[in-house]
Amino acid sequence: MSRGSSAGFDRHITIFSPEGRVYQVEYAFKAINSTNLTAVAVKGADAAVIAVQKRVPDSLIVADTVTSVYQISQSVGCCAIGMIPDAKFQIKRAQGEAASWKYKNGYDMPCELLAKKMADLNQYYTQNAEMRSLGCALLFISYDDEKGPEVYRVDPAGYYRGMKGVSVGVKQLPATSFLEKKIKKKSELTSTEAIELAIEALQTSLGIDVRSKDLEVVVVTKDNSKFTKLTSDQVEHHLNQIANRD
Amino acid sequence: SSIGTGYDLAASTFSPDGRIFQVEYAQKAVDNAGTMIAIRGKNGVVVVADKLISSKLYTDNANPRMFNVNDNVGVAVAGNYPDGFALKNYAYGEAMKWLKDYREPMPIQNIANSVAEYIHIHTLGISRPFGAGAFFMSWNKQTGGRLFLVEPSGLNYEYKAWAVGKHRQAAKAEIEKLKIEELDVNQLVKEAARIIMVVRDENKDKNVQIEMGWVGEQTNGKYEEVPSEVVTAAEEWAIAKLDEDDMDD
Repeated sequence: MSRGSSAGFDRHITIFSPEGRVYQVEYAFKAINSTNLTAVAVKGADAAVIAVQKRVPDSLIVADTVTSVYQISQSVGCCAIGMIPDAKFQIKRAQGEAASWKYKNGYDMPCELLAKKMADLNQYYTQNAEMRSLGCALLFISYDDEKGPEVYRVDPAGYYRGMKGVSVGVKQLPATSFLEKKIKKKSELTSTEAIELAIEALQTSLGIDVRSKDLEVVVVTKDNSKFTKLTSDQVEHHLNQIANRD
Repeated sequence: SSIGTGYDLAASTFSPDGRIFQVEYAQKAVDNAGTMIAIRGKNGVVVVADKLISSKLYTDNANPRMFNVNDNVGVAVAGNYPDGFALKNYAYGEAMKWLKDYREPMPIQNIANSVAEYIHIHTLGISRPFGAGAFFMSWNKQTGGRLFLVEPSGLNYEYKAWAVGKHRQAAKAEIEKLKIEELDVNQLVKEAARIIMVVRDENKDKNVQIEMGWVGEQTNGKYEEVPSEVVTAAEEWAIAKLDEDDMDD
């Protein structure tokens, strides 16, 4: 990053540099990689999946309390990658938004509206000095009664999009190009195929054999639209399936 | 390195590689303070702090670092003392509100989450981050011992055991040598006193005093300050043990 031209224009979230960039937001994107994790989400024909790395920083930490996936409402699941306290803060906000929306409307908040709401909030943080941007990216999945499975990505700039497959985190580039290649060949995936594609994308981008304890996989399917986390045995089964296929 | 670049003047400023120096500096306030260790054993949790006594004129235990949040949950604050005191007050207030609203004591997980959220808000800008961290501990028959640590960044994990402060690395190494799951609270008190003493820097750490808190089966799930006789006995045991180890060398 050219420090010369940006002198002083990157110390404050609310200002533009002469080239028209808002540096503090770019730096918030860098903060997403601070925890050194990668997450992948895939939309199949009747299922949406998130696969994300899990790393327990120290053996004295109780491993169950380390997670990047959270349930937002009955039907919406979310993976937050980046600075952990920022991620928890956003998760709590999303849960609050979803709950108050349901209270007002009597049914679960659609995933797209939730993604849009969180993106709008993120945009607000980029423009006002009262608070910095949050160093974390969000992936939402849900099974919608009308639209079927959905995957959304939300970033600190305030941008949100529905995706067929998406990755955020350190290895997002290799993971994304892997997904592009595979989804171009075949986009109507069964739930098993979607799960295995997500895991495989993660494995390929990291360039290592992932073990089930280093992995969290959550799904929503047509048969079970409730946010469900796969057990370690189920993840192990899928890992074996992938290994046997090669 | 980062000093003088201008990226470290506010918690609302990211550095070009996505760090927030003000929060890292706040963490230093905890890292450079007196060592504090908390260990979850077979039937309870014990916390020990090494305190610098800056004046001989202080009354006994004039500046406690360990408090009750409610009957069952204890908090031990490390780092900047007034910041830690403010955290303890916040936790106490939240627990009171919970008791008033739900007519039952606030569970430890909720206390830790609530304090973590409060700390995190201070890392977003405007206000200064907290230069203190807080251990929370509890024990009951259903869940067994539980131990949480909230850091100045708002990070909040549950631990089997942990050490913060000046000699945390050495203390952690000592903890890892023990089979902590098999030790009962009375043994933990002794071992914790020994660890605090063994990691001390004999030349620098003078006028220091040990403070201890515990919660477990023998306190009936209530968090309590460890009685001074027990602390003294643990210290004596630790000194004897350290002398014994020296003889072996």
